[in-house]
Amino acid sequence: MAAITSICLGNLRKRKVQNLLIALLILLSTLLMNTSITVIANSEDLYEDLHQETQGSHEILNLTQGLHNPQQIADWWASQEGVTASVLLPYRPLAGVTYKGEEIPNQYLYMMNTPDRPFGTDELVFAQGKETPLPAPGAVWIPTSLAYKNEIAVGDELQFKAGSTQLTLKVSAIVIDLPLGGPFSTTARIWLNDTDYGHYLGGLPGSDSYFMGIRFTDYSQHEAYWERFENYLGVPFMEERLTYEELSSFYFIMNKIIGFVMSFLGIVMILVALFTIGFTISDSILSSYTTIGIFKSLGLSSRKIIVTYILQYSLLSLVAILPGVVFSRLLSRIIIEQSLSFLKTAQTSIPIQNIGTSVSVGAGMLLVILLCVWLYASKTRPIQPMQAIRYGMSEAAYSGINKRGNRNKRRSSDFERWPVSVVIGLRNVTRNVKGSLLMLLLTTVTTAVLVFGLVLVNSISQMQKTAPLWGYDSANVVIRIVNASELDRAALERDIRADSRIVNLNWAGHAIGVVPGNRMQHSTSTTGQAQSISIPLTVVEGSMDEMGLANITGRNPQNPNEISIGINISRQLGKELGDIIELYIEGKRHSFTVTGIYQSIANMSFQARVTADVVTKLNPDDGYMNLSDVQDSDDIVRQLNDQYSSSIQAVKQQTLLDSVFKEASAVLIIPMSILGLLFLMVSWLIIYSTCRIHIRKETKPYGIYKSIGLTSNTIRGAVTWGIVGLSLIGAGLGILCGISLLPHLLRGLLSSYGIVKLPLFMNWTGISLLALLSITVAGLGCWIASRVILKTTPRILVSE
Amino acid sequence: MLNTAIIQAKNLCKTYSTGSEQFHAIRNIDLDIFQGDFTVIMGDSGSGKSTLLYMLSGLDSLTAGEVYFRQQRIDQFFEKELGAFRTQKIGYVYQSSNLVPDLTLFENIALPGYVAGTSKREVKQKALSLMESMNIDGQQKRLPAEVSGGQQQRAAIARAIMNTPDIIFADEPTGSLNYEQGVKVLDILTQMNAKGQSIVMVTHDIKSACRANRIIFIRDGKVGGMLELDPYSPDGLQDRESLIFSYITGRG
Repeated sequence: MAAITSICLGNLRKRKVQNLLIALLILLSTLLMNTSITVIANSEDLYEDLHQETQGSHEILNLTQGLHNPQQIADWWASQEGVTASVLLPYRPLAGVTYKGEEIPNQYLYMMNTPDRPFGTDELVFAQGKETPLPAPGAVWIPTSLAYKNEIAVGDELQFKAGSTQLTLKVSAIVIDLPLGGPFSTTARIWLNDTDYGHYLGGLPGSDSYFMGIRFTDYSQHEAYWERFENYLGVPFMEERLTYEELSSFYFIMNKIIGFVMSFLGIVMILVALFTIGFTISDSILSSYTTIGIFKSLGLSSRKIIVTYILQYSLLSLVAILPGVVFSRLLSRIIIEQSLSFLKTAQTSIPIQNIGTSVSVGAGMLLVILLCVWLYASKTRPIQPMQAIRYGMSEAAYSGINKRGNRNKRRSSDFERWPVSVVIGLRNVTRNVKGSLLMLLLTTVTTAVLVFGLVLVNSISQMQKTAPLWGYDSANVVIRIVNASELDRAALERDIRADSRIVNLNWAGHAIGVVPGNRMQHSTSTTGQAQSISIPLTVVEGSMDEMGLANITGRNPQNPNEISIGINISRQLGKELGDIIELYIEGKRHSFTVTGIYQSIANMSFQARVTADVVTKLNPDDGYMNLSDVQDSDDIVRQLNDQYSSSIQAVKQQTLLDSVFKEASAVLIIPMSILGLLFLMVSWLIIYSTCRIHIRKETKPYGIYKSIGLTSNTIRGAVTWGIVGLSLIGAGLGILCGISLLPHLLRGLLSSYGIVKLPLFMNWTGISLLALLSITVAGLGCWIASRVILKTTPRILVSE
Repeated sequence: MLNTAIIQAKNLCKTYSTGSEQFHAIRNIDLDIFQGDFTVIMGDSGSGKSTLLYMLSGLDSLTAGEVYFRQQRIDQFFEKELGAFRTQKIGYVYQSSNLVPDLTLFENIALPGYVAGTSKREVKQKALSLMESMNIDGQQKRLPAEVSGGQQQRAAIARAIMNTPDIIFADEPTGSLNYEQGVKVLDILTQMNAKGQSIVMVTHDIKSACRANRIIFIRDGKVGGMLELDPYSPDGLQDRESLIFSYITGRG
């Protein structure tokens, strides 16, 4: 054992830089792998823990149209065993909210008449402010999603528009509202006490709408409950029903993207690390061939020699994996705190759990590394002491040198075709095939990561340019009617149509369509769903084409019996273009032909679009305008808001999209930047290390080149240009992977979120600059590694 | 013989430090190497003869002193000037051929021509002609490992004279060859010198030293003596051997 330890320590001392690089590589691989697993595991756990703690609903019913008796529904669900139903939560929609004089765009606000707590499900968690049974008079509780995004604090005043009334209320608490207050949420429930609710909103026309939460003891049984429920109703449930998957999806989507990218790249980095370790061990065996022969001649067995390598890499792995795990937990915390900030309270930060998983990842890494070391170190087994001492290599390898020479013989002289520097650079690449492949792989992966990160962040942050492909319209200006009773709609339309700057105006509203269960469905459906499905409908009065709504296949509906469906509806119902769908809208049955299938991030592509002809009670409250010159947007928005301030809210489409997607790109920027930096570092480390090993092996030819007049810098330049050329190929491949392969893989992940075609926005200048950065890092790694050539003197050619 | 000095060394010193100890390999040597001479540097093992050769040829740095090539001080050259000097002005032949192992003999010979920027056509012509004169034509596409040691060394000489240098430095060029191959190499060097090529050769072999018209003896890092001879002729080989031997032993 003493011999093994002493050889192992000798190896550690002898190749300090090499060992340091390997340790760093292991550390970074662990960091990446453990971060991805921690982010994915903790995102789900955090949500599920809170869901459990707050008695989170598995389904939310939104009763807005008076198609069913709310109390009858609440009573039925409350009477079911294995179900916890919330009390009815009455609300009135609000027209808008202003904070510090600025209207907060793109928010659907519900002013809740807060019942006595507990509600039964979806209990509020107080993130800031004093917890009281009910909001104090003149005060409201607002969700973290609204507060954190707009930096609203307890004690701030908000102005709400309710009809023609302007309410000024003070924020007394900020609460986590799990079902409707997630990331990218455009809805916010504002909680007001009963007295204020009656006082401020009692006079508004119309009646209250209701939210109601349902929690199943065994969620897998929910379909059976729904079958019984619809049997009880005698008709399909025709109001809005939000499922658990829809409610929870936005808590996971960003972290799933981040986790996916990180775990994929983590695996790539582990493979790179294993390849590098194998490469280093092979090189070490070759350069110590004689020494190993001597050890064997002294009686050290192959097994013991292998153990020296295993011991060496165990020590390196331990030194690297432990900080890797620790750093990865810090990094995971940063990512999760940013993406799930709405689950954070003032008292408690987001707990990062799963220490057991981290330990397992560390142990797994150690195991894989040691397996790799064992495999490569086994190359010492066939070493014969006599051959090793005589030839410094095996007899077969020694005689193989000539064979290799014969293979090269057929080629014509490179020097006749290329300048000397080019040939030296080329030879540096071709004489080190394994190393060159590794460097090629590294520059490919690094460029792919950088380019993919840029394309992803850019596509999201600039999504107004590809909005229709994300399921949004592409109108220039949107107006939302916030107080229909005070609006002279005819006058508004007249004014808009008279404005020569406005090219067209189309209106849209919302309705709920219900696909009856298979007992009532007479179609070619093969899904055979037992219960009815509630589908949010976008109902358009005018032209969907003019609004800029797009389909991934087919066309927009133009006739009353046509429908365009989201990709997830298509999947769930098994409907394709030309198929018939039967829908209940406002209690009436309609047959529609599917003319288009589209994708939409907003509702996981679980929605559909129909024309206004089929909806009788439609109040199309969103107007979509296109302008002849987009530059006029600001003027038109200002004019409309000034003229119709009490009844409409006009916003530029860009403002609406920015409010959601700036948040998404902000969440992505940190992890993608960290990934980019990690890969740049690893790329530099490996290229530096690989070039260093190879250049040291080639010292003699470099000495010869120097003796015939080439300068150190000429040789270094030649070698570096060779690597730059190689990395240029790698960067080219990396760009292809970054804009094609990685998005393709991500598309697979997003497919369940209803995105099957990833609308990418290419910024070729940025892509080229990042590719250049990757090439520069590779070139720099090689240039610095080639410093050894400076010290090479032709004197090494002298036989002493 | 022309008595123009092609290389001048003034007060040359070379000291190696090993920890706290210092080893003086060359001590205050003043020396002229003349144009057209076949100069041999002889000495015992460890006497400093090879070190002197590296210093005279600009392959090694000096601890002190000056080296001039045609009145140009080469020990103060920057690397770029030194590179041009090595390409254009000198050729070097080592004890082992030091050919680039995975370049063919032709490529090895042609390499200095390519480095010098000579046209590819000219390089090819010259390299093929040198291979013919070195009697290794037909081996163009062979790698060094595929030919004999003598052929390798002749290729190394061809490489050394590819750019028609002013002077050739040869360090024990026959040291790793058998007798027959060694004689062939020495014959080539002698023929080149007969055509006016200046040569400085380090050797400890008296038979090789016979080819010189001037022999410098180095002992303990100093010039221990100098012997001037008539130009080499095979007929008088035995007399020259005796003369050199007696000079060495007489001094010794």
